[in-house]
Amino acid sequence: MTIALETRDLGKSFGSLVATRNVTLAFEAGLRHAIIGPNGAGKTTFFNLLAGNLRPDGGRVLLGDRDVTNLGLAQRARLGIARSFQRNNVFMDLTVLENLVFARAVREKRTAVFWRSLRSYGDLREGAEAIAEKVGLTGDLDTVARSLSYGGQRQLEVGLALACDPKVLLLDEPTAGMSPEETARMRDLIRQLPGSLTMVIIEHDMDLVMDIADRITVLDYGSVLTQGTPTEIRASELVRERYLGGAAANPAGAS
Amino acid sequence: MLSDPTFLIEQILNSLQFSMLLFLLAIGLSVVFGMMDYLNLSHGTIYMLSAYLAYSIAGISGSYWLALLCAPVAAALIGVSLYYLLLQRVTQHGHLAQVLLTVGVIYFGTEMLRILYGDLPKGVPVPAALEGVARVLGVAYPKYRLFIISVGLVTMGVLYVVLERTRLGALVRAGVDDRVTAETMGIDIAKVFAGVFAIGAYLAGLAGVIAAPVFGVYTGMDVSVIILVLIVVVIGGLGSLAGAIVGSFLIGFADTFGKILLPEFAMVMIYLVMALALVFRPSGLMPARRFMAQG
Amino acid sequence: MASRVFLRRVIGAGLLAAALAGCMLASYFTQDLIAEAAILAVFALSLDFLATCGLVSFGHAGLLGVGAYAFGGLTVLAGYSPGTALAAAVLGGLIVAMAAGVFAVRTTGAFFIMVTLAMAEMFFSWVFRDRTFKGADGMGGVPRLDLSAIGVDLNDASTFAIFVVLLCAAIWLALEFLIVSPFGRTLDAIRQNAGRVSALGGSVFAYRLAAFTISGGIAAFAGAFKVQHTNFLSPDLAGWLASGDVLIAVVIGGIGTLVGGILGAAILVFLKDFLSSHFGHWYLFLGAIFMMVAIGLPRGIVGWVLELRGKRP
Repeated sequence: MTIALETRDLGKSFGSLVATRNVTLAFEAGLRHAIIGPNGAGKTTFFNLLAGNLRPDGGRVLLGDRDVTNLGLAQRARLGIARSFQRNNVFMDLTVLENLVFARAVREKRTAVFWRSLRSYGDLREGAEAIAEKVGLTGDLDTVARSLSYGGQRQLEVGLALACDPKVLLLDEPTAGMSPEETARMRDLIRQLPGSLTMVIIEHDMDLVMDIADRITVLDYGSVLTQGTPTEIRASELVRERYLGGAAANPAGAS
Repeated sequence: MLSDPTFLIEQILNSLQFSMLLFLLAIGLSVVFGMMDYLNLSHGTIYMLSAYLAYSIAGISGSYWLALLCAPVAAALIGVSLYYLLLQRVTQHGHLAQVLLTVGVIYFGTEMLRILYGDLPKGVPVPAALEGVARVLGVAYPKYRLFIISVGLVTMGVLYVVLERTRLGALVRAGVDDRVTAETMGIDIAKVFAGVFAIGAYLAGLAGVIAAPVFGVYTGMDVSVIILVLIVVVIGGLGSLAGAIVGSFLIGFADTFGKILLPEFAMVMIYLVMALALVFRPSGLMPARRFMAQG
Repeated sequence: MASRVFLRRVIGAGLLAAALAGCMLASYFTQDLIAEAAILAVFALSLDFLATCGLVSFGHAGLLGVGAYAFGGLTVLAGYSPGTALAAAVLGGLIVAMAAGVFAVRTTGAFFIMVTLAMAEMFFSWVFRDRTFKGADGMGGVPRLDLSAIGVDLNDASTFAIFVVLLCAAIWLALEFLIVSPFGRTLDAIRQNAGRVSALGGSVFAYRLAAFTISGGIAAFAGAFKVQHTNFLSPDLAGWLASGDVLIAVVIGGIGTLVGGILGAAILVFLKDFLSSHFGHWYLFLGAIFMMVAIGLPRGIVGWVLELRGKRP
């Protein structure tokens, strides 16, 4: 088995609050990993440490066998760690197509060009259209992001991450705030992504997690409570007691 | 020359005195900015206006103390009226509209003072009780300048107690750190802000009165000082008392000693301090929590 | 949405036509004002281009001053030809902007406003005191470019005005193309959402620094022509009032529209001339007009016109 992304003894505190506590985890390549845990379990902080939005106080992050602990968000993105955000974080004044063309231009290192128009790149446009198809936005190519539905913006959010040609795709609550229909669409979208892509997903919707994840990691108070396949996690007394019961009572909570 | 202890003590006292004036101006600007994200360049104009008021009051009544009592209060009233009549109209329009509006206020205010008082600089005499010198660590130093230092230190102390130990202070800090939450908790931020604006204008007015006998009263005094105050706020960090204090001391000392060590390049010293501070702390040395850099 | 770009170009073409007609037909004094406005417009373009990536400088006159003092110093004190001095001035602007930008573009928003203001005041206080450039007195005798080889005499007011108007138009067009290039779109993306650009793998710092550097080169270019226009070098060129003037020109015209800076520069120059020749304490009126524009048209004139055409940029 190949490890796509791993952390060793990763720790992060904010003042007296320990948000991530000695987390050692390995994400096997080509699988869909889900991270679950109650609100305040430190899921988003852990994600920010993986993506490079935050620097850890201690420990390491490895992409394959490369130590990326000291690299920032942009450098990690260039190496193949792409992320989506919990709150929609797209270019609101651009159309769907413009959003994706720009993301492709960054990916292909074509942004340092001064003498021709970005619109004139046919190959970037093709790449962008291919991604729009993957995230189900082909019909909205010329819609300004601001005027998309909330679910549409969530889809674009995932599309921007996909445009980075990632080796590892980090999705932070892809269905947060979505209607049941939109959630179903997002589930299909995630299922249809290529099997070679390693995914790490934070998600609160347990049905979705059990449905799409190959492996599940449960975080609690910043440390790993347990890990396993969906069947194992469902069967785990510890998880049932600490989390699944609580999640049923509070399904819409955000971390 | 810095090896001469008398000279050194004198210069330290000069630095302290200048730091206190900067502080009185910086704290208002910093907290107003921190709470409302409002860049009020006309803050210095209140300082200048108060200095002119002090000149008039002291000239007519013959009493500096009456000027010290009344001019800052008038400055606070004018500041708050200015806020309600004009400044608050562009709160939502971003920093640029704020710059345009407050530069307009500076032009307008400066020209009004020119019409009323003419172009010549004015002086305000030092009050009789503070004439002459006192001995500090064996060094003769003007009593009035010691008075300025005392006013600054007392203000710092009072503000510290108010901000850290009272309910009003807690409201202000909540307003700076997380305005939205504070509002949902039922705090009327607009009222708190009006109070803060009034206090800021009062302190700027106080600075204008106590600076007048030392630095004189002239149109343009607002702009020359506001630039230093902006640097203080940048270095210290937005919205925090500690930041305003640290920034004022750094710039007060850098300016005074810069003028001695590098007479031609005093601003270079200030610039160096600012550049260094920002390289290591892009949000300033001690900003309020909301303005701390992420990561 | 094409109509907004079209509208911007129509406004630009209209201004160009009016300026050229003025250069040829109007009085000497009007020609002089047109030249002044065109140079301020180039300066405003440099500031508005920087705003593409979301940064607004309140110290741009420092960079204008670098160009002005490089040009004036090299021609008057060192005897270089105006052509060489112009190239050196632009190069100087690029280098100083890059060096200052390394510190400045780490900050954004109001912090950037204050940091750039402080940096420019540094430069101002240096040239204000330094006797090499005659300090606060300033220094006269700055020559204009010598284009007699192609039969153009820039010492003629009308010719000089036409020349700087055309330069301004050329820079405007170049920037109009630059902002739709991949580089320009990256700057716009950074303005909209810098965090997302980083997450995609783009270097926000590098692009902001590049924008600041280019902007510094254009500002220095404007500075070199400013001193050619007046033939006089003075520290006031680099002072905060000059930074404020150009910022106000851009805000009045409409930030982020390029052509707005040109319109704002023209309005500011002619308004000041009108007020100062008709009223005594005219700053009273100028201040009141600024206040009214800030409250009534916070997005500036061109911004307001474009808004009437719909929400898209």
